Amino acid sequence: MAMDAVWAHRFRSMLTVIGIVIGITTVVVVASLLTGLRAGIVQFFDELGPDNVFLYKTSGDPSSEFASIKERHRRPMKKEYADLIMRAASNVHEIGLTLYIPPAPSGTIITAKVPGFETDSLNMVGTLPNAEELAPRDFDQGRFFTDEENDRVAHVAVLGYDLAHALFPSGEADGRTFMLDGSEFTVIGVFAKAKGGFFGQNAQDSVIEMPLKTAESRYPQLDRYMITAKAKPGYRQDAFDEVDGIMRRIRGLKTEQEDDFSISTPDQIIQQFDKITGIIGLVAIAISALGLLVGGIGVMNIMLVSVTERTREIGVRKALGARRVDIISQFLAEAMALTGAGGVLGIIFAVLLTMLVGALVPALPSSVPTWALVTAFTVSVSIGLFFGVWPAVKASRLDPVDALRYE
Amino acid sequence: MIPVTLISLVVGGIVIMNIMLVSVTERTREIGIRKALGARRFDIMLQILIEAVIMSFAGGGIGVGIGAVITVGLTAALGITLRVTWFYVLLSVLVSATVGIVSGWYPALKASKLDPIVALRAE
Repeated sequence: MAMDAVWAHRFRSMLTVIGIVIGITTVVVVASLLTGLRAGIVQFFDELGPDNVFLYKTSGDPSSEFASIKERHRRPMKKEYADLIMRAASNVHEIGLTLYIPPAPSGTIITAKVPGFETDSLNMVGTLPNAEELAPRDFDQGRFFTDEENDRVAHVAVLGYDLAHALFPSGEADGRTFMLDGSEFTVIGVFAKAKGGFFGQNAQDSVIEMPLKTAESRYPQLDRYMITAKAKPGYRQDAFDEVDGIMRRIRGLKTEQEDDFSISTPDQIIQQFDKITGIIGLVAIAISALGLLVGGIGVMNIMLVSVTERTREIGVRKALGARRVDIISQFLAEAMALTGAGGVLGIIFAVLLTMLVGALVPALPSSVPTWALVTAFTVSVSIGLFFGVWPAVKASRLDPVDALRYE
Repeated sequence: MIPVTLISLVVGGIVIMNIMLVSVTERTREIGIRKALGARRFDIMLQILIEAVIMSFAGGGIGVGIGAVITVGLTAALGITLRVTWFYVLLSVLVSATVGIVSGWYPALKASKLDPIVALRAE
């Protein structure tokens, strides 16, 4: 019955709830985008190994050279630390060492070359064969390098999926050779396409991984080491505290001094991300709250008009024995039906919009979370309830004698 | 800040349009009489448009007033000197007038198109 009253004034009802539709659409779309983005990033860091603790000189991404001036003046992360930590930390199960090679270690930008094709979009690292145990990855073809290859400084490389396909368009990369900074490397493996990432991008897909000793012999001037300590299963926090303590001792820091190195775990990085998305979420809520507030006032306004218009109807109902509760529930139900329909409309728009964004920008993953739908519907019905109270009470207070006489 | 303001302006404008449409329906007889007494379509349109603009103007004025009070209050409370910029006051007045004209247009057009014979018969 309440729906009938809403449907009878289709155009008016639509204009009335448009604020609510806008508000609900905004908040559901933003929630969907953030949920999708977060899922990608969680997966990305999952691939780095959930039990790992990372040690690096600066707090930035090791593969980029960006760091604050203060952090740039820190002492380098020395490779000797790895053995010290492995010996001293009881909660550390395995330790890895990675050397990050910047795009231009000696002035000129390094490129990877095959006859007829050259690219400089690559991320080079030298690492130990145990990297595969620290953060296991799927292979598209081939294998990871061995201790033996590391020891004899072999010119072998494992490539990221995108890079392998750029260099060897046929897809057959295993066993082929390419030129890197003036020397020949043999491809022994290709990683499967990395899962997750930021806006669908994942630097892992353009990686060149070579044995650590090979990297060190080619670029002896570099000191950009990252130490990865894998905690014993379930002891990540203990390992984190232990490694932090050992590093402070190695560096000779006094109790009151801050860490002069960066120590982090994948879920700390996710927590930082959550802080940023929290702010975006708040802005979205502010926008939609305003739309909902103005929309709610519009609903109240139109319900007041509706009560005035239907004074005679109310009078008749009262004369036929309707109690105040009956009148109140009639108008409340109508207001709630109105805003509820607005909420459903908003949800439909949001889902369509999310699908559209997903189709147009495949790099931006998104998924509509169920909680957002439930909350959106509940909030929109509650708005009807809140702003419908006054008009409904006003209707219920009408004197049937006056109401029946109303022209 | 601008998207937030824009959304509330759009929603507010739609609310004005809605209420003016209701108002036109309620006053069908009045419009019929005015037309029967010789009002042209232009006169009816102007009447409804002016009502819508007055409404949005009043809204803008109240908004500027509240903004000024908050500015003065914040200046006193925080000790920083905040000033009401005349440019923005003028801008808000212009924007609210525009909102009134845009959202009043359709109801005004609808009212002006009423057939006086049908309108006079309306209950």
